[in-house]
Amino acid sequence: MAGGWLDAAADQSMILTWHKLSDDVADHGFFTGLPYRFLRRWFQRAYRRAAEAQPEFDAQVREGLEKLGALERERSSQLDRAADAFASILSCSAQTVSGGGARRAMGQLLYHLGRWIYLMDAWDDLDEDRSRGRYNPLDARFEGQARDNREYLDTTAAHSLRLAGSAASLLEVGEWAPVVENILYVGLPAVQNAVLDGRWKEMRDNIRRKPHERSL
Amino acid sequence: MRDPYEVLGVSPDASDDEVKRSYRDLARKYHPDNYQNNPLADLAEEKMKEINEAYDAITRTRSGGGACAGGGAAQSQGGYGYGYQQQSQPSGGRVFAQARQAIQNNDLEGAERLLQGTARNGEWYFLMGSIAYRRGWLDEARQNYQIAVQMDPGNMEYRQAFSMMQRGGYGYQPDMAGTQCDGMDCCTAMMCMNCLCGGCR
Repeated sequence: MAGGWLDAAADQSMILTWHKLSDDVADHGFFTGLPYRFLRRWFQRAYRRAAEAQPEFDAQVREGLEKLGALERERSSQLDRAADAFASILSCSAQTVSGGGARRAMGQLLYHLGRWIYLMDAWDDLDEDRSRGRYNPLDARFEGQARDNREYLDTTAAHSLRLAGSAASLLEVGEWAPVVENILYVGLPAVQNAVLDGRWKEMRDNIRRKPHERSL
Repeated sequence: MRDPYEVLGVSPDASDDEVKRSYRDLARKYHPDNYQNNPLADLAEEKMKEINEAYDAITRTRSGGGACAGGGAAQSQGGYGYGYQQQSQPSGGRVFAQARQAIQNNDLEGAERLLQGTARNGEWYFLMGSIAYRRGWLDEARQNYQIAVQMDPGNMEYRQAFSMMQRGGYGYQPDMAGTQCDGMDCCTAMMCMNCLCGGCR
């Protein structure tokens, strides 16, 4: 099923994948980074086509990642600014939406979804980041006491999900409305609880191993 | 105006109770409280107006075209007369009032420029918190609102804003009773969470 929006989504996915691979190459040494280098080379032509089709999105992703990198290098304690750099990348996808109101609502939805993902990822990676001396925005914000601020994080992450929901309510998604609501009001809160409780990795592995067991 | 039945998501032969129920569900969804200081408040206000007009049109038609029967919509949310704008209790000078208006118009850079160099009192921190909130910087918003309350503990507007942050915001919550996260929702949620595998940092 081809269509303008599907092509745009595929292009954006390609652009994000390529930049993620570039990030992985930069994060690894020469030998450990070889798989990422190989994959990046593999996708290079597809990336070029996608970047030609969506030059503004490509530029914004690049800029967002640079901003994120700078904040990480300075080990910024400003949680929102770090989350913003990531969330803004996701919200750029809204540019392909037609209609000013719908574009704004989609931008807001994607922004808060991105913020939520960033916060959950930061919590999930706390121990590993500490052991490897890597920047973690939650540890930086809470001066090494991130685990003592679980409730604070729970509240602010849930707040982002509510704002994402409020934005989604303003979009005409037709028959997809129940699916979107289920994801925003049931699925992602369930994932949030699992992440904050430290059950996420196990749950994820179980779902992958036993896809027939459909319920959380 | 769009077909009022389409706006309310009911069929033309829906009962009066079904129409009323749908109207109330939608009014709850787009209530001003769910969009306080929200950059999309204007879109929600338009939606609420459309819903009210649709309900008025249907009740007028069904009552034989007379005066608005039941006046349900007229007595309802009443549009966005309240919310950020009406709840404001400006105590500062002209600059703060201009900053409030800029925030209301989503001109956040303009509001910040106005606040540069002004006295950092409770209202300053409240307005900076509001700017941060509109940007989606919820942690910064909460911290600013907290300082505003500390500097001016008697100000209800600041206290309500801080209380809202402590509660994690207000929002429409659909009736999901009995709903479980099924495979498709989890797969989609997992796609969102795929960043955790390699990290988005």
